Amino acid sequence: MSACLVYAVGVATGSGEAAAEAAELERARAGDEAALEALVRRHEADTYRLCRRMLGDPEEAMDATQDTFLRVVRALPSFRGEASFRTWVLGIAINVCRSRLTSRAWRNRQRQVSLEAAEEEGSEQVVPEPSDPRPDPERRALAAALRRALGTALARLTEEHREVLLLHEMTQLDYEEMARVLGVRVGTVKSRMARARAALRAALGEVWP
Amino acid sequence: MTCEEFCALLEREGTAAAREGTEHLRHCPDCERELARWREVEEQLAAMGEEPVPADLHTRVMARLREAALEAPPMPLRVLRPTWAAHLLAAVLLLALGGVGVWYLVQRPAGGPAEQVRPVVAAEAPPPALVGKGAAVPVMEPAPRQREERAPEPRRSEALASSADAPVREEQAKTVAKPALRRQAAAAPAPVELASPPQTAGEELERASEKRVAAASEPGRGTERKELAFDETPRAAQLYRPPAGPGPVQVRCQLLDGENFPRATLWLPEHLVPAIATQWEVVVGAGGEVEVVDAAGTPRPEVAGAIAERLPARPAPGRYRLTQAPLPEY
Repeated sequence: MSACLVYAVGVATGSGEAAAEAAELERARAGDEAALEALVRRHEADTYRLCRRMLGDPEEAMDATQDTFLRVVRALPSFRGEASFRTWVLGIAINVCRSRLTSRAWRNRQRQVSLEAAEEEGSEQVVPEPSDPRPDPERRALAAALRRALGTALARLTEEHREVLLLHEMTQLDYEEMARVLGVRVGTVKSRMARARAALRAALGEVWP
Repeated sequence: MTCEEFCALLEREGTAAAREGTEHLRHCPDCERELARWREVEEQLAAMGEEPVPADLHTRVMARLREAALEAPPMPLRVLRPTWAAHLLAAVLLLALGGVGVWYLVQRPAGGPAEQVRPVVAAEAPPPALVGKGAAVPVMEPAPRQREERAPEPRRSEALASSADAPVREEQAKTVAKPALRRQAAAAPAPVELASPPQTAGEELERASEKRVAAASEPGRGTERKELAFDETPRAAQLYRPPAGPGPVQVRCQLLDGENFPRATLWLPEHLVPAIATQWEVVVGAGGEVEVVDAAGTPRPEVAGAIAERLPARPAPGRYRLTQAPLPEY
């Protein structure tokens, strides 16, 4: 099992980090809280960002991140290293987001609130702009405008399209890893990506002509 | 290459389309602009992966994990939530028990002591404690999350204790249930649940009555059988307990239909289930034959055999996906 874990982790993170992460995994499974904390620290930011963009709401993303790691901890004994640990965690995060979106869809039918509204509200509230190294203020402003437009456009996509775009473009998973996360074939991932890009182009055309 | 063809390529490949469309781009400024625009989009999407996260993220995640470790419940708690399924099960059990009671009162021998023949609904012993897989994960035991906005969880004993509450609770369950799931459930046959075969109230009553008559006709047996202790072993709780006995650890799995709706639930040996977050394709043929293909496209006849063996009542012919059942909610 250890060799399997080293391999699986290594695929995603490179040899040095791979060995460290595999060791942390083993120790966490044996009950070492410090090792578990190190694993959480390593993957929490990616998980939060994915949840943030999937759900559109920073506070709900925080809850979803906590839910994700709670599930990770509970399911740690069953992690068999077939995918990298990061892929596995992101897969759980996607499932958490899906169930939250399903609940929200039901609640929203009662309250008539949309994800887009949540995204716009959320983007105004909490998420700070990432530091942009470009010196040109005009380009920086354009990039910031595009980022806001992207947030809105992403919120208009279906859950399925948003998932694949974020997993591929934001978390930089390759098609194989995405197929594992989403539980579909690689061919399905590719065709879904093509449809998602088309949908994003269309949605972006409305908010960022 | 036409502009439409280049756009299709752009959607299929992203900015990698530039490699194949070099010739077209050389004399098409529109497509060149579109490509540049998409480069910017990809760049910004990637930048989202570098966005700052809240400063207290790590503290809050760890606090939540520690809080959950302290709460450490004795068993998975999905069954304790006021879900549609739990309320329906409670209502069915109450109806069955009430029916048996009435029938017993009407039919019991005149002058005989009421304790002589006890109504026996389920003879099986309480299921064993939930078996964990592999080494224990120590630090953080699964635990229910206390939500401030959520109403207090109803106790199992409360849910099952009073038949007068049943209509009210069923109504609450209807309010809580998700409309989409309700629609799907209404439109399609009920999921097959092996751990608890679906029964109507009438069937339950009939089965219980037969057992009671059998117990009464064999002197001594009625008192040897164990009465159903409702507070200890509600049927819904058994759904989350793996089957007892020697052999490999069993994992609870689901067959999902095209709408991600679970059409059947079954326990499979650990080595025959897809990894978490992985789904395998399952095809149920018109004759009930089952075929399974794993995520790598490899046929898995041994898994198909295990499914066929464990699902005597197959779901309707069609394509399904086999996945590990979600962990119980907390």
